[in-house]
Amino acid sequence: MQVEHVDFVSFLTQDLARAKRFYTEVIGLEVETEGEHDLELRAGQVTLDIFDPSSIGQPFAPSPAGLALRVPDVDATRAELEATALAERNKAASLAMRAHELRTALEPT
Amino acid sequence: MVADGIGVERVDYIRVPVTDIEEANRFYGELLGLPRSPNSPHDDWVEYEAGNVTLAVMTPHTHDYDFTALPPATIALRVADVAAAKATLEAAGLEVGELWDSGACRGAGIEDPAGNRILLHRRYAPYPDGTLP
Repeated sequence: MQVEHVDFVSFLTQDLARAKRFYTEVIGLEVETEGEHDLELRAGQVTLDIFDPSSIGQPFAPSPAGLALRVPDVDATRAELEATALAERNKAASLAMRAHELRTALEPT
Repeated sequence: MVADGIGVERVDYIRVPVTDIEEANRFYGELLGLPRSPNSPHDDWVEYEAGNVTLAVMTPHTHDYDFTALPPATIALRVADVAAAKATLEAAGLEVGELWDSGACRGAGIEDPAGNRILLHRRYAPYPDGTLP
């Protein structure tokens, strides 16, 4: 028996839409195929499969398989991701503030 | 959001947690026949080349965290013929799961000594562009 190749590496998710946003918009992987309960992405030389196990009645478990993604510059990537997270947090805080202001404005006096 | 992602070039490795590195070396190195990377000198982190991806077989207890087995089918290993691979491994004493056929792929599950469930896999149906794996 000879192992030729790794056909895919699979990670589980509880929220496929959120996982898609993370892997495509933040990490920048391209979608290969997309189903109702799974998503296949191109991670360089291998397919990364993201699957919702509740679709087959299986429990979710975070994977202890650390996937090492090669990037040109780890420090720069880390700074970029931290800036993205901060921008997202600021955006969420701004939206919450606007919602609060709107509620206040609509309250009967 | 990061407009174009973070420029991922490739997967350098995937970590495979195990409890006993000697048993794992027999399984991945001898039974599955994966070549050990010559650049893998450590006793508790052994890298095996599975074609396009490096499997970093390692012991969490020597890296300051607890062992948890991989969820089923985290890693799908392509073999030429799943039924033949199943027969070969069974002849070597390994328990192999039922052969299944999805209509496009065949597969069968195996477990390494630590309980990681690995999938033996082969797609036989052409991709939409007509190519085969």
